[in-house]
Amino acid sequence: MKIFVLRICGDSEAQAGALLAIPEDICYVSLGLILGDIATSGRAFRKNFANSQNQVMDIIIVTVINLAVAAVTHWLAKWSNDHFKCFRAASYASHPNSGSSNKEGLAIGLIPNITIIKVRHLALFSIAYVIEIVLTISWLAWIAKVLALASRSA
Amino acid sequence: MSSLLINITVGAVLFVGGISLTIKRYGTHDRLAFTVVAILSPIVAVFAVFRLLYLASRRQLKVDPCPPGLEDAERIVERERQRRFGGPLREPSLAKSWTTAYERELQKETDRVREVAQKYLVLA
Repeated sequence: MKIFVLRICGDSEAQAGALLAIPEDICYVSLGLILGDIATSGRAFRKNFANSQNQVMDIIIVTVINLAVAAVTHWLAKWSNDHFKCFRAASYASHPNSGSSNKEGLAIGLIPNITIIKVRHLALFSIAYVIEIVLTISWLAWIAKVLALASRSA
Repeated sequence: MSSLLINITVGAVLFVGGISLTIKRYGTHDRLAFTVVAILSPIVAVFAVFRLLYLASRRQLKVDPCPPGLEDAERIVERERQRRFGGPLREPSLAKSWTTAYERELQKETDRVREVAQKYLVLA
């Protein structure tokens, strides 16, 4: 929906940011689910930690873990975003019709080297992105499982 | 088991979708090829780590020499990045670390040859 709205607004650079921020958004969705459960009468986490001696502390720990996941995801997103920008810059630098100001790269025959740099940045971007997705999806899946089990038992 | 399958499917869809959309939208040329490279990169990285460990355990790790002009190419890309997206101009790091790794490899090889030569000299 966010990408759709940004597409309608015609903000090209924000679309790239929105696409790369999907894992981070997932993280905040899971944080919203936790806080929503605490704030309302859902009590899914209380039911999940029913056998624990300190339910409040357990819920606080879950929230802190969510914040830690969000921080790690943000750091990875920053890293992947940076590599994606470098990949785009390398693409522009290597292509004569892309409006690049750097024509000397083509003149001295540095295209194979620029391709090495381009593939390196693309691979690092991709690896960081997949780690973000695996981390956030696993976390959201656990939160969803807790909520689903609580609603089933209710 | 089914929840794990759902997790993997959702993760794969998000990853492939996100990568394909970004490259389709912001790539300048060879979009399909770069999309395939990006999608395969994490799998290749996992294999590369295992291969690296295997080669390191057998002492067969070899570093190729750094291609000439890589540092210049890095500078060009960095200038282009700064022109388009702003931020400070960073010093090239890939060429330097590649050259350092190659020099270290050469040094190790030299030490090995010297060791063998000294052994033979002692025997002779």
